[in-house]
Amino acid sequence: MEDEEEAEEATPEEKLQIAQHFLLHSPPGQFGEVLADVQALVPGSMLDEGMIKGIARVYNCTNYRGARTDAGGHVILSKEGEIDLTHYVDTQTGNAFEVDHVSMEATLAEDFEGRGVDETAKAVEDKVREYVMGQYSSDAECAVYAVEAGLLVVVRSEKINLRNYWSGNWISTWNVYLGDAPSIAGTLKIHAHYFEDGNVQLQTHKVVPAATLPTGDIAAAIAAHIEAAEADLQAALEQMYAGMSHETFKAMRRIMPITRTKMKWNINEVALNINLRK
Amino acid sequence: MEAATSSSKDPISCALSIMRRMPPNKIEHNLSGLLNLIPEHTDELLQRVDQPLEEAIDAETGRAYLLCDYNRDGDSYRSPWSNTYDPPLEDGFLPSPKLRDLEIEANQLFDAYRELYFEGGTSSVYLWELDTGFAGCFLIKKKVSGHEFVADGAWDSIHVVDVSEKADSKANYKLTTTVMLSMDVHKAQVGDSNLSGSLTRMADKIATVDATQTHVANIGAMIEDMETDIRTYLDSLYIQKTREIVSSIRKLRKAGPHQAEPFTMNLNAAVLKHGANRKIDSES
Repeated sequence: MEDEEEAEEATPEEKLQIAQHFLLHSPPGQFGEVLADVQALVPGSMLDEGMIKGIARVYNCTNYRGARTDAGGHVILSKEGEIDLTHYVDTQTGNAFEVDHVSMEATLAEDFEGRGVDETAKAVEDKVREYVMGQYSSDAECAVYAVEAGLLVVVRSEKINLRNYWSGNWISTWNVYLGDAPSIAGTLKIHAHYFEDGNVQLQTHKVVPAATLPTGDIAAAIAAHIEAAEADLQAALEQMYAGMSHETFKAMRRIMPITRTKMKWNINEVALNINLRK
Repeated sequence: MEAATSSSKDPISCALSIMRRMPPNKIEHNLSGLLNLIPEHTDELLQRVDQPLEEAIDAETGRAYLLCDYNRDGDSYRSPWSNTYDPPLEDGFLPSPKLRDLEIEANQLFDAYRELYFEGGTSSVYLWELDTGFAGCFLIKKKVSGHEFVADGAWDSIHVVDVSEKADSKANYKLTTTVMLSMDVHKAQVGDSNLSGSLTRMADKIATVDATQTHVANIGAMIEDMETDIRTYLDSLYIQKTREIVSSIRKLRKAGPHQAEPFTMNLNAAVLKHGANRKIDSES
């Protein structure tokens, strides 16, 4: 068979774009694994340290990943909490942390001025954290940023178990408008990856349209809204899994033929059946 | 396995490792990226990375057939029904007359098998000579649409079998099966969801070949069992695993009795074990 036409050499710019594409699409917790493989496929000098840190920064902030602090907590990395390329605000304390985007370690940057704590944001974060701690596995995090129009609430959790060939994350982000009629709108993203002898992935992206928040305790109202919307999605996913198994899998391939006997691999028999059907 | 990938500099295994991590509903896109990075390995990558099957219509018979690397010569594909290439090729590769007879029989039988288990879809079988025997590629594609959750879905089976003929009318069959699955969901309650994946397994068998127990019968029975196993694994284990990952991140119920989770896992394992023993049961 002849060579493919694709065998044309890509330009260095194109190669870098492809490398970035793979890295930015790394499954939860597998940026380092994808990096090791991609590095073997591009010219040695292409992915230098600065380039890798730059791509990792985009990956981390897009996925609201948590960098580990010395104290054992996490600082969520996000463009809303970014002071500069390597410094991020911890919304719980208002402190600034220096972050290594590749090792994902965060160290308190004492000579850096944080942002101080926004009172409304803090109250909302406390309520949301209470919900997150009760509903999520222990490594879940949340952060609330004061932004121009109001607040950005982030709920994220990542579970990595590559030894058993799986990882997953849950990222939900909520824009809260704090005006005369406060409202909330959000986006939920879920990604699960299982890759023992194969590669199976669930990817979910759901937009929750804006809803008016009830008056009164705004922090409690926000936490309750997030909890209800997330529970709705998870319940719907459970139904989706049941539907896939009961309806879709059966329509794709039966476990046994309708005759309840296995195939008779005999050309005479098959020819006879074809004739009978005519 | 982290050690295996990072220490290994073999470009093919790095490329395959990347494919195992990228979204399985974007195989063509990611493969084309890899081909641009390492064009010198194009042939091997096209052979090693299974892609969702494309369909074409045989102009002579009007029947649909499936395209893969095994019925391709240059930019043309050979139909298993008329044994001709489209676009036409002067000197395209053809199996020997004897092997073509076997290919015709294999296509008829596999078509009947497809109707029995898939109740629709398209199948194709391609055979080619080897020094010690022959090899074959058995393909099935089935599409579904308009389900309660799944708007569009597809099942692709690719079975590649190596047959080496031995003395005393026996043959050794080596089967490698990949099933690719994709399910696209667009629904208000779950948003845009996609559950896709591929699973590859291998089997090996030595069997007698004679007038009643033909090569095609031996291969067919092997494929039938393998496909039933993979279907069960995909449905009860692989797909369910992604569901368990989600509920291990966010619990379905608020924190309470911590015994709940291991219990569910054990229950699932028991159900699966039970399921494996009752494959003969109907699926209602």
